[in-house]
Amino acid sequence: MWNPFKKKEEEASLDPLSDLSLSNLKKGYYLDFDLKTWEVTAHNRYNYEGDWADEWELTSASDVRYLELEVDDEETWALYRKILVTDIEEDVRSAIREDEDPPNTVTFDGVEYEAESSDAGLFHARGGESKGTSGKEFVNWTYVDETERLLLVIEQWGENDFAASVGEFVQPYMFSSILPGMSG
Amino acid sequence: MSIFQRMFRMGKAEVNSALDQFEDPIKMTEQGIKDLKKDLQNAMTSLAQVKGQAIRLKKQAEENAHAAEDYERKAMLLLQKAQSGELDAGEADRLATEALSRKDESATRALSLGNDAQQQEATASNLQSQVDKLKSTIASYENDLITLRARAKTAAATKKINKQLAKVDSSGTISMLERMKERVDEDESLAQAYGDLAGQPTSADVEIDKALAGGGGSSDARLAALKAKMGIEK
Repeated sequence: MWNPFKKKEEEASLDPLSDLSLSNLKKGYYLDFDLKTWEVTAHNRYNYEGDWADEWELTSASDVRYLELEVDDEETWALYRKILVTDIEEDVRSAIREDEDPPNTVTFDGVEYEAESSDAGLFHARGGESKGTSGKEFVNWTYVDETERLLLVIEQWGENDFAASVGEFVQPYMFSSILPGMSG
Repeated sequence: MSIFQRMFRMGKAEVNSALDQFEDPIKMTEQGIKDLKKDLQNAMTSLAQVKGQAIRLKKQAEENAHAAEDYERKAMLLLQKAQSGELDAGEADRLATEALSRKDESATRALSLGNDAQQQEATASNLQSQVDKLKSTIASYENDLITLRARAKTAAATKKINKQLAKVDSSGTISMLERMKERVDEDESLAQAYGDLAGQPTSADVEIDKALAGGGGSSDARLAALKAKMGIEK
């Protein structure tokens, strides 16, 4: 039924004080981190057998970061940037092809990382908004450095399709000035 | 003051009083905060536009700076090729000059875009502080509203209690208590009287004696009369 007031109600539904939180980020939002303003350019979701994780793609000029939220007993936030798999000192791809797993220890940019966990799941671009999308299968291996502050993730998306990223654990207070943007 | 002026004033006062009753300060504050939030949202959207523009300008500036570096690198490669004899020196010079010209164009654009980006960032910074100020003001008003709501609830409850207490007819209650007291006193007296009556001897002999005692003459005279009647001399 046509309701002339519906749009106005929807527009007014966003509370600029309480609704603009890190876990409510949407595509088109802006936020400040590390003395830079970042635009949320995508919101994707990962389904780990029913346990969902959110990922927001943040873009600032030519920099791109991926903010990830996993909720287990508590919220865990991590911020990643993509790296080339070939920039990892060890030959990760060969190891996965031969042993179905990468090495237990990998080195990137002079930092040594130890294997922490491995997961398989389904990737849903844009939060799985498109109807009929069953998600893209992937496997990932997560590594942490000795300080347990830095992270490295290796992903396999197909027989020969590999990706990697490095990151660190972050806290929501590190992000500020969340703005709804045009599409918010 | 004319009678009409007085009537007008009275009417005005009545209307104001009626309007005062309609005005709920909490609802008015809530509406005020809602309006401020709408203003804040609009300001945030404007700020987002400025920030977005700053990001895009910065990206374009970086792209032009990279292009300038690329053209310079290409000009150097052309000259190297000419030096090694891979390319005609004249052609290499012409192409290298063209590359350098494009490098300059890109570098100029990068500089201009960089300046524009800085201006947008400065504007965004100013807008951000205004937005933060508005946020802080609204948050403060919201806190005040919470306190106001609590105070209004307490006042309403107190008013209700006081109203109920004011309705109580204390003099009526006291007179009722007095009446009750009197009745109880009466009942107690009556009960005492019945008690006294119950405690007294009520045999026929006593009654006879009493009657005789009240009938005049002494008991000796009455005895002598009885003896005479019976023919007894002593």
